[in-house]
Amino acid sequence: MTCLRIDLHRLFPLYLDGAASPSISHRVEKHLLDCSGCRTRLVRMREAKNLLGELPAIDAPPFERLTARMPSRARRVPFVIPSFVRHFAADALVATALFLGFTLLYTHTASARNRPFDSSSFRALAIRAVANTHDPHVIVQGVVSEVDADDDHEGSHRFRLSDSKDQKAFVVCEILDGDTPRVPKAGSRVRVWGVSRYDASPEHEWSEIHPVLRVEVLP
Amino acid sequence: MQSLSTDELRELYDEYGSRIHTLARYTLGSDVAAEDAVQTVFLKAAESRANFRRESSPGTWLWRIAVNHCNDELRRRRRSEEVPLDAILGWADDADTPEQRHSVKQIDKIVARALLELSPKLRTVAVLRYVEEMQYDEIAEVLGCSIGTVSSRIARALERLEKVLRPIVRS
Repeated sequence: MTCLRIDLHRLFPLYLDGAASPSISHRVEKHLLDCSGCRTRLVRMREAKNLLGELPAIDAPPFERLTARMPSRARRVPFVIPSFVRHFAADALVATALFLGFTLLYTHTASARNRPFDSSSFRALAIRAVANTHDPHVIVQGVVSEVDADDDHEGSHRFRLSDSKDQKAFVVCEILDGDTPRVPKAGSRVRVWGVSRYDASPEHEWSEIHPVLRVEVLP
Repeated sequence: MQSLSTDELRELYDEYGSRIHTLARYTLGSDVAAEDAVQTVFLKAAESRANFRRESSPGTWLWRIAVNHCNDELRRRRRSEEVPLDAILGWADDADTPEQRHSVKQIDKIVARALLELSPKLRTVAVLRYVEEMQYDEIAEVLGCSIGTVSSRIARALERLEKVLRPIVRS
């Protein structure tokens, strides 16, 4: 079966290169003990890494050849733009960039919202049931009780989802850097699609939805 | 805007010229394109001394110019559907000196060609890490992203490369 722990696959290079923190190394090694697929994956990554490391550095041409190809500075006539034109151009540029930014954001959000999401492989669970499930794909619903952005330098964003009737029951949800879901606001009621796992590290020991694949804010 | 003096430019070139040439060669895929890229990068550097002064590290600033230029060049090629000469003639056939022609050994040619199968983002990060031997935090600073994103891109690059190279590695 294909391993779904993409949250760990992305850390394999750090581990291979000896650049992972002790907690990341511990997580990776613990997973490797149980996952033969990832052991193979790691060996293959190391083979590719070794081949890349063999590529030779290539000397640049002599400096004189570079300067000979550069256009003579003396031939260039400086052109000074009047300051009022410069200010107007800068304002127009900022306004255009803002307009384009908002337009892109709006169209991207609209298209993401309209894109069909295949939820057939996901199973809806109560938050307290996540700890006991073996289903990787789950849907949970609750209240966002805490938001913690990018706290572990891995570029991810965490929030804590609590059961609305039992605040002691919670799961920690993690959105990977670059993924589509946006971090919901604290206090909002949300439904979350993602991969269930248990983080057994001593400082955590909690159930997680990691990575979060979709977040729906409920009315 | 102030320009760099020839001496300042030479100092910068001595320190980073070959490294930037190497990055350009492996991301753009030919000696001629790499040499043009190096020229453009150092020309841009020479003309924007003000930015150079503001940067905490001239190296990071120069790497950013180089990475952006290589990406722009690849985008321009894609728009014009330009096929690099060596893709038609074979790797390094556009080299104009014997040293350049033999600068990349056979197995390295295969790996270098496999690199061109990667998307520009993955190719750049793989070259910066394993050919230029830059640290994760340095790459993150140059690319303006997190260390996690760098590692994630490298993971995808290595997996893709291994798939492309598997028949050769196994034989």
